Amino acid sequence: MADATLVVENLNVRFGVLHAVRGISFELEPGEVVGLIGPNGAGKSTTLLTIMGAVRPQSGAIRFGGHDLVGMQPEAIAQLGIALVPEGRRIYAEFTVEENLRLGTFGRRDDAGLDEDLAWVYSLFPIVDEHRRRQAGQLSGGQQQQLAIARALIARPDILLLDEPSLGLAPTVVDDLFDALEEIRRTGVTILMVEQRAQLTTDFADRSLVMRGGEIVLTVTGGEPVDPAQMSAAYFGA
Amino acid sequence: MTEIIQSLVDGVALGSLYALAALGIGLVFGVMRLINFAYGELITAAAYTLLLTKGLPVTFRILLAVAVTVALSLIMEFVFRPLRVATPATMLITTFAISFLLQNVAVLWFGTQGESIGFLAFLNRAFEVGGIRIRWITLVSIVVGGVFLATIAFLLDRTDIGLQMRAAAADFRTARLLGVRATRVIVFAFILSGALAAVVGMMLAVQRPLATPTFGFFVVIPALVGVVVGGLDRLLSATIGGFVIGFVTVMLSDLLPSDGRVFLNSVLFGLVIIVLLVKPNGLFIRGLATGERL
Repeated sequence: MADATLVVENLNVRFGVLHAVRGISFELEPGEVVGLIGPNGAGKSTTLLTIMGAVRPQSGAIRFGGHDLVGMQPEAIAQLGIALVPEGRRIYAEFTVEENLRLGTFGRRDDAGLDEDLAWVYSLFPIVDEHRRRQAGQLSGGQQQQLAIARALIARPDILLLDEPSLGLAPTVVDDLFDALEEIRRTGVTILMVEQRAQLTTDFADRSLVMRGGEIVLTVTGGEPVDPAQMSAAYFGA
Repeated sequence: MTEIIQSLVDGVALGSLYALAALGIGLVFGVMRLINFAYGELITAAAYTLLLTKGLPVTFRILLAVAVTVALSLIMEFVFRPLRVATPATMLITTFAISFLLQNVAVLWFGTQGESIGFLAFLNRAFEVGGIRIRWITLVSIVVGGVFLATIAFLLDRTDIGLQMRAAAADFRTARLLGVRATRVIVFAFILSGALAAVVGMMLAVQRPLATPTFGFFVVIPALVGVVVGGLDRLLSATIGGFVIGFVTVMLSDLLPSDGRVFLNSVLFGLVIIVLLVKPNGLFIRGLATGERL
């Protein structure tokens, strides 16, 4: 892709009277890992869903590789190379693990290198390989999360959007999850992750955006110490 | 004893037909949450196509009946397209409108009298096995029904488009986010649904060889009842529901004393009401309270 930078410009999303996202702008450089944190109802998930075309914004632009994603169908956006690991994982509980994974392949641009990608995903998440024939609903929460990420990765995306991947997982499972994300980062995939675990996210990400009330109120650079007063002001208002 | 076996065979035959109609309705409901009340008119369209091609080679008539029915099904899909985001009530009323519109088109074109279709009438002849008289069309209905049910089961279970249809039925939004093309899946469902309507129309045209504007309408009502009784949410349960309605209809009409046959529908729908009171989600749906879906 000539220009794999994702540019969000002055994005506004309204649900009736609720102004969920208020004119936010940011860019995702290729290979960058960006965290999106903030209190509940800040508009984080809405931002991801708007990028995916599942929510239509009132105004603003989302540019990626020469396309304006606003107004495009979700399936078309998926096939441009953007994959979402949705909130609550959204695994097809009654399908087998393998069928869930196959559903991820429909977001691919082509099937070249599918076998290599499968091998890589299986090596990243051996659980998914082991339980191929089982019903996905029988997997534990952590295993389902791995399956959801595997399903997104098999689409071979340039950009991976993660919506609260650590939600409801035990602490040790969260550690494993972030180890896997580190592996994924090394392949050069751009990552935008919505998370509740602020500390973990700001440590992991190259850059973290703090959202509150539909606006980006603070940007934190990874590796730099975070001023706790500044952070709590961003979360709770000054 | 032979009478019971006779009834069983006839019941399985009508059950197969209703199962195909129920599956045709269920396929579209799965991906669009749309109960296509105008499904009967697709069946009617197949019958009229056979009527208009009377005297031409049978293979040609069959192919044309399938083509016309599938084409009409695709036109319906196109009409429903702006309604994808509408409420189920709006969609249902729209399908009522289309159903009545098409019935009236048929009235204007062909009149209400009914015309003899003349399609494979020799299949109504019977052969005898151990004292049981089986009409060839009964056997053909069972075989064709079985073959189509198996084919669609295979398609859903083993192919990419089948997996996409199942995913769309279970959680359309997530399927689209994964890259499943909504329009392609819906169009495919309407093609299959239309093809099944053509099959049902042709089977019926042999047995009830009078093409009328309500030819398919009176098949879709019991098939829809079967779908609801079986459980709308699952293709399998809806299909079994369709089968059961057809089967029970034959059983009841054979078991009721001949002067009681006029009460056939009363008895049938009475049973339906009892089923829905006891199991509002459908006879073959396990667990899950009303409105709850995974």
